[in-house]
Amino acid sequence: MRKNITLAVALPIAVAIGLAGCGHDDSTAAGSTQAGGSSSASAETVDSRVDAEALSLDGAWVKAADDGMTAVFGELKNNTDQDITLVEAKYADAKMVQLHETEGDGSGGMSMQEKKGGFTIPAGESLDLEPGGDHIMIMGLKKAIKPGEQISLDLVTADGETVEVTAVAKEYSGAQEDYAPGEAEGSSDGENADHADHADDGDDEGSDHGDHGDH
Amino acid sequence: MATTRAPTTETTVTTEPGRPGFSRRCLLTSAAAAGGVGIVGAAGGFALGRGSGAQGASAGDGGPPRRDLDGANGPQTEPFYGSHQSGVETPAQAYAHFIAFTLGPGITAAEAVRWLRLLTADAAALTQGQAPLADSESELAVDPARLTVTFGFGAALVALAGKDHVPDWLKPLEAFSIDRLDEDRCTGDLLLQICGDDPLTVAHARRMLFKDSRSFAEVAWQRDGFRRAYGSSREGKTQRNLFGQLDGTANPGPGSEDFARIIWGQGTETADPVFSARGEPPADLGAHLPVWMRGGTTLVLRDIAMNLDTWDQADRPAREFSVGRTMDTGAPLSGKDEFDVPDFTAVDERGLTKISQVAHIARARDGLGPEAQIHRRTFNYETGAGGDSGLLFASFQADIERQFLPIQRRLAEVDLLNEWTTPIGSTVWAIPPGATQDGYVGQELFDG
Repeated sequence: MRKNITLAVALPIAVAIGLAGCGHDDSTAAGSTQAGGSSSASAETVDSRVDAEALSLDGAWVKAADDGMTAVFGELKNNTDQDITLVEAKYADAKMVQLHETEGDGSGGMSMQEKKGGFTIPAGESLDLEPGGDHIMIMGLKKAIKPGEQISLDLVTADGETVEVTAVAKEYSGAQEDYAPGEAEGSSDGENADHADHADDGDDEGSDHGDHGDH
Repeated sequence: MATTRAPTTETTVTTEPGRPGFSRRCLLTSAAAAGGVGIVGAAGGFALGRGSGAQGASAGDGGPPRRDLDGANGPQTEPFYGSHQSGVETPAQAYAHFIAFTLGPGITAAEAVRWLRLLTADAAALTQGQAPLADSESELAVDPARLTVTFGFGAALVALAGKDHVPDWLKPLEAFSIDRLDEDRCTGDLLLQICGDDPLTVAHARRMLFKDSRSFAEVAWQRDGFRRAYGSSREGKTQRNLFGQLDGTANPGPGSEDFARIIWGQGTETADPVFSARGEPPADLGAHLPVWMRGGTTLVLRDIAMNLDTWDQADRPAREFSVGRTMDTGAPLSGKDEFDVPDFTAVDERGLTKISQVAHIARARDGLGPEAQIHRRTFNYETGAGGDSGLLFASFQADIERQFLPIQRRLAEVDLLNEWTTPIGSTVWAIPPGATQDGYVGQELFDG
């Protein structure tokens, strides 16, 4: 596993896995004055990437939580010319981590469920992990994740590569999709009391995770 | 009454370190118009704006000015990273929001650093028109319109890094006889000065910064201020306060040697520095600042209530007499142009000095040396008809004791303007240097 993140960075993190070596320049930066509206862009740059990044999680953040469950968001970027499938995420200080997709309930609410088979990021494309959409779900926190803290997790791809990514914790009131019964251990801030029932059937088409990014 | 003179002036209110000649404004004016004080030099790019006269938004063919229908100012950005924080030397934007926080109980240095990193990341993104992480209204982050976020540290925050890091001046100012301070406006451990030309952008920035502060601190107080809207008058033109006075004529020009010495406390080592008519300020005004503040400065923020009702009772001659400047052009009563150097010895036909010895500008500068200058970056406030009116008087200077206090003490002692103005809030802040790309504001303090 390679990592590249530096904890010294105030923002997040672009982490990368070095699967193949497809070059990719970092750069970005806060200095460039874009005039457009990058949606979830972070102004940070991480210039600690050593390997050419094949897969990166840019603008990674995690919803701060004292206990229970929380989620990690960011932009998963496949910088190679081949599809990459993220099949697992690991976080040491929790009982379980799952890759989740969300499903609209037809009335503005969302329920989430585990994404069977993981997230496939097509060659050269990216997948936004964001509240109300796909995300990395952390359940059974063993210790609090405080605002401003950085956590590390490992992302595992279908071909067995692992990359360590870092996410900064932000206080966030959203991301309160309904959780599966039995998993509702209480949220970090106690605000999401409505853990309604949810369908844990995993048969819904999981093809729509691309549309969360383009609104 | 309406005046027929060009509305170019400015005045002063409260604490103005008046001073004559000076910098950029002066330069421009003298160059473009009359030939007054002939100083030159330090005017940087700013000079152009002012000197280019009326053509700004006009079609360039001499036609009437055109409105900007293209949103040209929305994408404009001010730098975030750098040796100095933006929002000090930055030409003042149209809107300002000052928000002060009090540290939550038991906050540790490590937690304060996490907070500062979050705020730094937010500010770095927002000022460049990018959404910070976890911004649930990311569309509001576009169009920064010159957004700046300037951090100020109070003693309690600095003390988290070690009590010996707290400078002795980082405490409330001495009491002045004119003060009627509201204690609730005199507190706070961290100040964020959020400025921009677009009030929606400013509001969004405030919301994001507030959300990332709730886990660490409580809001102590917050105040909104405004100046002319973007596009209403040429950049660099002195603003007017709610008394109608030009406010800030005496400021050193951005980019000038005067500014570097007076605010940043260190010279630029320019070969042939040019100074204002006030004379050459010492180059060591920042020498007393602790190492972690190198590249920073100090801020005295005074909330000055202005009584518009009693000001209404003063007719124009009385107003001009009290300030020592004309209301229309802001020229000293001894001169003709806003930037003319006041002549405190000039007398009228009756043998009386044209500028009263107790007029505001006389008190603020007559007899004070070139070190007694400040940079006032003021914003007006008004809470509605019949409500509170005043001025958020943000005074930046390298050394409060040598620069701000000599002026303030004299004004507190005697100043005709005190009849209508009342300080109701007062705070003192250490303005740390700007952050480096991978760092955070205050890193020199906490990691030093």
